[in-house]
Amino acid sequence: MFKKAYFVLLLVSVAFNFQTSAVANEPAEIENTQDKGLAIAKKMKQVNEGWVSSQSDMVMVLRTRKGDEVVRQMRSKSLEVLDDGDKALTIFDTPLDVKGTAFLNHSHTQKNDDQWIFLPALKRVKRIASRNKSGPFLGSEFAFEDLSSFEVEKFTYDYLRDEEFAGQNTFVVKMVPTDKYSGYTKSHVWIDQEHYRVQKIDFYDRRDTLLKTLTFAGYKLYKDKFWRADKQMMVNHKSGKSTDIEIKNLEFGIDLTDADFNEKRLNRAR
Amino acid sequence: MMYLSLRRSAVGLFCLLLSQSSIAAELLSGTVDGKLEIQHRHFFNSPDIAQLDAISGQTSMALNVEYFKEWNNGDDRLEAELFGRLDGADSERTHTDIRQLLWTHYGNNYEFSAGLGRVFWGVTETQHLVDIVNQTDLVENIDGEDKLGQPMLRYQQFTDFGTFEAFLLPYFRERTFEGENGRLGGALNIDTDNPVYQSSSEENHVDWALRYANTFGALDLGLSWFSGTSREPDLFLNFDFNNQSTRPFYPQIDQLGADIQLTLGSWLLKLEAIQRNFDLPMFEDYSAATAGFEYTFVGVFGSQYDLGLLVEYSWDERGETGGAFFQNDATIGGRLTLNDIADSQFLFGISEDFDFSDSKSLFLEGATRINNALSLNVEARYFDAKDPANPAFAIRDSSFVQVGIEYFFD
Repeated sequence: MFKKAYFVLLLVSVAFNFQTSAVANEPAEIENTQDKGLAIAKKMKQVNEGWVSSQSDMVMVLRTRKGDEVVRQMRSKSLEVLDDGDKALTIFDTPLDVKGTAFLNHSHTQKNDDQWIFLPALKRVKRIASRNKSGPFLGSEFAFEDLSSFEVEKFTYDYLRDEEFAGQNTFVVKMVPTDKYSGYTKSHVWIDQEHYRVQKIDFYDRRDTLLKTLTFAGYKLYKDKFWRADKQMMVNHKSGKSTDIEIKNLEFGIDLTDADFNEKRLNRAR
Repeated sequence: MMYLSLRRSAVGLFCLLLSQSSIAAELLSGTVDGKLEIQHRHFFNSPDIAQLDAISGQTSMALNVEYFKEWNNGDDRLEAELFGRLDGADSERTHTDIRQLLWTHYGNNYEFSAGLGRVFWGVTETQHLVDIVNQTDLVENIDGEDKLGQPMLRYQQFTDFGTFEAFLLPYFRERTFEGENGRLGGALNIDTDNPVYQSSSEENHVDWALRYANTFGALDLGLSWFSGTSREPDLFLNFDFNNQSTRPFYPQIDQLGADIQLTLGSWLLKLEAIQRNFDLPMFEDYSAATAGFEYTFVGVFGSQYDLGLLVEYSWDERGETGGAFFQNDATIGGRLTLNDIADSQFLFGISEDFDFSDSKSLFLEGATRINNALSLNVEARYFDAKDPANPAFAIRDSSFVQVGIEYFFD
């Protein structure tokens, strides 16, 4: 029963929604840096509204400082929720000792997420504490919070500058988590001005020094509307370790309903 | 015996299915995976006089094979899990079981299952009072978490006001016990070939159960009712001129159970309680409960380690003479998660019996991954009991360390 438990997941990139009441002005026209930062965040959400449901395969490659590699495979299903945070289900395929373990997350905009884990050996569904968001996900350089769905309400914003990044014009925005249990004091986020896609994030730890950098690569357009990165690369500057996540076989408009994300039916996950 | 006939009928069913060649082809398209385990236990203390030839080492091997097949777009599934252990020291621990052979149909808001299945009810960690559908495969591990496959018809209805479940359990599985060479059965040498039942239908008594479960924000609630053959036997001495043995007696019971968990920030507050009723004069109705909490510290000592604090207290109305291990006992433990690539983790703690204050036990469970297919686990238990009235007295000399290597395949 004490088999490893606290895996989380769902991808930043697969879990966007937007409060329909908010109408964003064009960020470029705003003077006040905080208003401008918020407008950019809302726009990021807005351009992703309406994805409804998706599923994908994920390959996670963990590297030590010496260059040793370990590979983990999982599958993810996500459901868009318009008036709250999204729902996501992650099922583990390898390593084989955790095969069949399923993790369910109901994210919320105004309160702690609800999380359950299904342990196949015991046929047991356990509800787990979601506040432990700063801990590593499956021994990787991703913390739980790096992988949870982006919700506008979870941060305050400050626009810093325009900058060219990887041949694109980007906004650089400072984001400060509103949750005091976050492992970060702030992050700096590079967002391209054409499609509002996150290109890079610098994470600063509680001592306010640069801890990790996440870069996104291989953006592809799905359903003529939704940009998703094939690859996310996280480097830990302190430990020298890194983790890559590759997304494969991403599909939208999957036949998924609330019943597929019901904690009482988590034993059904395969 | 009954277990053999059960196996025979399952094999018969399988052969019938295989005789339909198109079905056979279908079945072959399912997936198979499993694990092979090699395990060794070492007992430190010299055995007590009742067991002159008792063992100090126990090596065994276990195989688990799972089969999975789905059709109708995943709305129908067949799950099978076969288990077997070969034990070098204890012939009773050499055993096989069909853990699962279950067909399930998934509807929009209902599920129906038929076959041999496994369900888990409850929230606490140190004991599982509410979890009653499956019999405990006690010979596997004294923690009681290994279970035998239970023949069942199960129906679940999912509604906006909770999940309702009904079970019909047409056949009873006896608890497994160690043989005369086993060190953890308290040298009782239980005669599992000659169980005694209150019901004249014996193991064919049809049991039934109901359960309601719902989530109210931070609160998870489960209420259950069970009516039928108790999974927990009463052990009695059978005096016979030729042979003295201990035999299990399985009474009929009605049991009401409740399990509640409150999830508040980093706190998990847990409660399980049961009321068990008998209709035999020598058995008194009783209630029992386990309550406790878990609190997790993230990144302790400036490291990436997480440390969970686990505290649970158990109470049983029958008191110190009632035969329960956890009748007025507290357990304090820690769950250390290293968050490394190997997912290393340890669970350790101490249990203290307040009725027998000289009685305590220590435990440690640890696991780490060697590679994608290999895992290493260790388990150590230390027992101390000085009062012969304490159920733990029987295993006071049986402190042990166990090491296991598991190989996973698919």
